[in-house]
Amino acid sequence: MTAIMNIGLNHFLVLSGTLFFIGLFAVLSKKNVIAVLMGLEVMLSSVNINLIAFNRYTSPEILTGNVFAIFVIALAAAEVAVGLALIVAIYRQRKTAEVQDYDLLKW
Amino acid sequence: MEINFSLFSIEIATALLAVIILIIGLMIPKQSRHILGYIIALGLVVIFGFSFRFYGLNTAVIDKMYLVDDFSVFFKQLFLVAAILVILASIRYVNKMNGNFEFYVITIVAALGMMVLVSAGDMLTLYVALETMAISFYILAGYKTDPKSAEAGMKYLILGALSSGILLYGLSLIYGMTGTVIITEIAAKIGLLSGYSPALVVGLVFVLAGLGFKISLIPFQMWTPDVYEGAPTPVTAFLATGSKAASFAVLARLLLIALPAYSRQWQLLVAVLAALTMIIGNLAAIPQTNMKRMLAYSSIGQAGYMITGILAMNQAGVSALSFYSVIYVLATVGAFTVVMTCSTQTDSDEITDYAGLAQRSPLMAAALTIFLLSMAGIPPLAGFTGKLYLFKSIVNQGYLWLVIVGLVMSMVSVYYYLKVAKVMYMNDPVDKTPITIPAEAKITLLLTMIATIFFGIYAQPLSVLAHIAGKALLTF
Amino acid sequence: MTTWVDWNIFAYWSDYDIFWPAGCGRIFFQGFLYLTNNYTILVFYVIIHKILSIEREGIMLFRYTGIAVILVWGIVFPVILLRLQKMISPHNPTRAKTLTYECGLDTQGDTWIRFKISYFMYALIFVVFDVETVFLYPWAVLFQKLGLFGIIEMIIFMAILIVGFAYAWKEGALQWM
Repeated sequence: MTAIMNIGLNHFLVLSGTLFFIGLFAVLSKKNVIAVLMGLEVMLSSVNINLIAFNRYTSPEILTGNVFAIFVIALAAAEVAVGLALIVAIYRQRKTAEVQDYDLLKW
Repeated sequence: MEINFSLFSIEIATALLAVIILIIGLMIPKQSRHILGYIIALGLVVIFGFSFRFYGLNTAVIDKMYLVDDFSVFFKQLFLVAAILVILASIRYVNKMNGNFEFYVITIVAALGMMVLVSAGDMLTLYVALETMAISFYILAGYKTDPKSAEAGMKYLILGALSSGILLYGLSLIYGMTGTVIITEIAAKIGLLSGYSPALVVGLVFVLAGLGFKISLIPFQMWTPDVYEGAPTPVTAFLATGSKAASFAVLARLLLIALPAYSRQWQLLVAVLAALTMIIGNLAAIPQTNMKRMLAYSSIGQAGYMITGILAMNQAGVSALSFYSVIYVLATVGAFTVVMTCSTQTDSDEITDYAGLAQRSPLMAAALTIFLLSMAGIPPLAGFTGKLYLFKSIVNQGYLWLVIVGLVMSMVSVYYYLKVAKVMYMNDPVDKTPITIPAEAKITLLLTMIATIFFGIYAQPLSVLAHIAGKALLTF
Repeated sequence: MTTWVDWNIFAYWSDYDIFWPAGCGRIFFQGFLYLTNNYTILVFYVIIHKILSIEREGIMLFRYTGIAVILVWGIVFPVILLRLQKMISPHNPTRAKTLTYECGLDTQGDTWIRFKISYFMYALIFVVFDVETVFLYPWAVLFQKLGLFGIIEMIIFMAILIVGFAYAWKEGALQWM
């Protein structure tokens, strides 16, 4: 029982693993592009949890994981800004933000 | 902390070039902005000439976070050459699509990302550089104001961000298991673990998936034809060459330097994926009617050949990979230059519209034939030498079956490459007006063509450099 | 009952895995066999056993290598949630329900109308520049230690950002349209 009550690395890893796959499912199954971008953000957040938890429990004296997380946050923002701009560009041309309507290019 | 900044001078010069061009572009009037393309090409040529001084240094900077070894210098030069050739070839094309100077600026930022990527000594630098490259390409792919281009950009962004998320999860697992992000230290830390950890295997698979996306390895290739077709052709040329070569270089570093202890796990995986990539890439190229899609599938097949260089796990393999990267970049940039030049005249990328190209522009028809035959690996051309090196490096490692698959698929590829040649030489053109090649594109075309023939006949200079590069990766 | 299976294979999971307390595996599988008499599950059981016994040493050393288990959980859990949500929620869409919610009034026309795109550009630029300040915090904390080097470094960083900002300004991104 004590193993369950004490919050340890495993709890964070379970949380981040679950979040990662929730994000993955959102990316693969959502119809609206904006929801897809939100799924991507969830995936990157799960990685941040992972990095910080590993940092805290394996080498708390060097902050590599935390620094890594900061960079991930900044790059995720850049990615999403480009994504939103592209959504607007497509929406102006096609009046749709549904992924299944993006079908000009096909095998 | 003492940092020798002169070791960064290639990257700093490239970044400065991008920023300065951005500032100049804002200050001069819109009509004279096209001149910036020439300035950038000139600047990159100067940096390229300067970069030869970096051979033989083999040092690490800032606690091994950044590696300036011969391997990275070799690939940096390759990206510079690719960027110069693509920018030269695209000047007319960019003018025509109402493109501004931002196009060139983002292109060299992408090149900068690639250069940092091959020098990355730790996983943080690796990730930042990879994203610099990838985000630049998301913008470039959606640069043109037509629905196809925007859609290509969106598709590339969603799948690219997905793959980098997966890659990042894998990197975080490797970091968690070893407690370090420095690539050269990971192997030593893994040696301290007794037994093997399944988490590291999961991390390894995730990293392979993330980078496999960038090099369009088979289960992750679905974006390639769509993005190659939709993106503006110069972008496709740079994406197919620079991005792929950089990802191969960093994959080689990760697998061979950081995770050699897990070679039993990844070698089988990579071998099977390589075989699948060769087979599916080449077979799917046969029914294509669009030139860019055909080249996209053929580039998937090429990725299958190239990854065998990593599979060999020795210096010969890495050297062969470096050598083949150069050959592949030259042939691909050349082929896309032809596509670009034709499409500015005919507004079409369909293979049927290449009918009678030999009459309309003999130079382009000859060049395209040479590039395609080089990719197929026909003897006097450079592609043959490259494939010979690649296959020679794995044939003694128990991968004879993979070599046979590769050879059979090369035969298959000859078929669809020659189909294009047949259309160009045998069929009569609908529109007989000759196609004029802009002077800049002609430079790219001639340079790539001469290099493809030259390295096929006399591979010595390039293979010596590739040998140095391969040795540097494994011994450093 | 065939007892050549080591019933205790899940014992060493229990130390570190909160979702699999000790003895759970044994109870689960015995219960399953009792209820269904289906011995095919034994095949999977043995496979799991084999995989785990290979990796037992690694697990003893690095206990959180149960991450493989976590990944499986990560895949299964969202699926369960999504299925569960589908199963227990009543599905009865009427026209009024599927309409976009807009302050209680009925929606008129397309909801994706062009809505003050100028806000959008502001928001986009804000997102980028806002997040870049994340680098300023660690720099500010270590400001004294870094000295002149830190200042120059940050000036370069800001200069690059300002060039980008100047570009956005010059190209009219901040123009109120």
